[in-house]
Amino acid sequence: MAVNVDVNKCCYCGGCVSICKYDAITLKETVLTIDNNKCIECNLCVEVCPAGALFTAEKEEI
Amino acid sequence: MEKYDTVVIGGGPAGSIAARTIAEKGFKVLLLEKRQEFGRPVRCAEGVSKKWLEKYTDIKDKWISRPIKGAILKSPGGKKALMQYNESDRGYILDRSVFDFDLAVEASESGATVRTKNRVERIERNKDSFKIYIEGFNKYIVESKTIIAADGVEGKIPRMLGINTILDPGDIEFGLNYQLEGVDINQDYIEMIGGNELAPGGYVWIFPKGEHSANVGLGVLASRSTKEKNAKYFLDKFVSKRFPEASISKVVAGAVTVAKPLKKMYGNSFLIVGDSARLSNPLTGAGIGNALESGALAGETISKALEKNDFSENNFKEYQKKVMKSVGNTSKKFYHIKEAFIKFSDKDIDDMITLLSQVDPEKLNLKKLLTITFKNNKEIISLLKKIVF
Repeated sequence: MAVNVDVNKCCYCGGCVSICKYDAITLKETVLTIDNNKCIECNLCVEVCPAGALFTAEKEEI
Repeated sequence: MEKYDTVVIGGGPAGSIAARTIAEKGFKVLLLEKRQEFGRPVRCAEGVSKKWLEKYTDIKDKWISRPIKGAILKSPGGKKALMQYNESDRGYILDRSVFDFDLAVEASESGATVRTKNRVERIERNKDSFKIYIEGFNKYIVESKTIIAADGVEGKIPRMLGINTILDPGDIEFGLNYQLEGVDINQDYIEMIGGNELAPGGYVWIFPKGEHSANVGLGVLASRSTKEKNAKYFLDKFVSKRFPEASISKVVAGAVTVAKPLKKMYGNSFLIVGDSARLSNPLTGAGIGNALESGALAGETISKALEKNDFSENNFKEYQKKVMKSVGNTSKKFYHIKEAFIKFSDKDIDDMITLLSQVDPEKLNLKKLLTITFKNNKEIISLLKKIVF
């Protein structure tokens, strides 16, 4: 599994960036990226995203 | 390579005021904003009190969506209390896109170089200066004696400089706000509604935006948000019930820190300001005033340091002291009040609003509100007595 972002839902509030303990999320202008090498899939960001823009999916699907 | 006395990273209110303050003294300042435009996209519910705006700006009509006379506080059970602001603590609902843009322009007019769509990739510390790697349309490097980190909630500049700013899920609210059109509300008052079913660990706000428009939003404490029941779930539920006919003209999401201010918002040759220093009010989530104040104090501190050519950590301790004295200690107090408040049941909130509704609206202020709210809680009251009054 891996954390993904639905770009149509993301409102770039940056909240996920500020709670990620693994420094895996970066917000560049209006593009959110998740570094799969750093992400440990704790899914905290998925739970808290105010817009429901983050989701987990099988790695193969990406 | 371009050389600067200070590079301010982040073009929100804190960064712009800091850049303006230093540029006014004649120093060479670069103000960087990673987004395409100052002030956009807006990530704020846009409320601010008059006293902060007056202190640092010449208030312009075009910044103001609505002047505010007071607040209506509501409980989940439908109890209501009115808080009438006195002349000195009147508020405004701003248009942040215009406000932030103008503040950046003021920094520029004072002599600062301002650039949008310029993002800091990396910072390298040398003996007497920083090398700052910037990505704009081109990649380039600038050299600066000092840095001000004004990069907001999600900012990573403090981390690059060795200060850990990662937040606990109990210390951050995830907010969602819709600008609604076609709403019929009292345009002179803001409305705040508490309730665990409405906004767990946060509150619903209705901020008038003029005509038949309003900012309607809420914050949910991150530790109480779930994938199914997130801020959007709660806001959609509230809006469909309260304003079924309204249409959404703008969606704004924003994370609001409800943390204690950073224990250390300075270091050798750098300072941290505003949301980046976790300075927004942990009870209300208000952050613009504290951003302006810390930005100005950082500007003064850096200017003095540049005059003396002393950028040592020891010399910058003074900034922390000043910030804590003016806004930080109050924030710390509000943090403890927030910690108590989020434990309230819906019945507690009903009881609290019932008690508040018996107070003369002209005399109801935050201090009174807190005394009444926590009157049965001796522990909180003794804490309040010690720290608030």
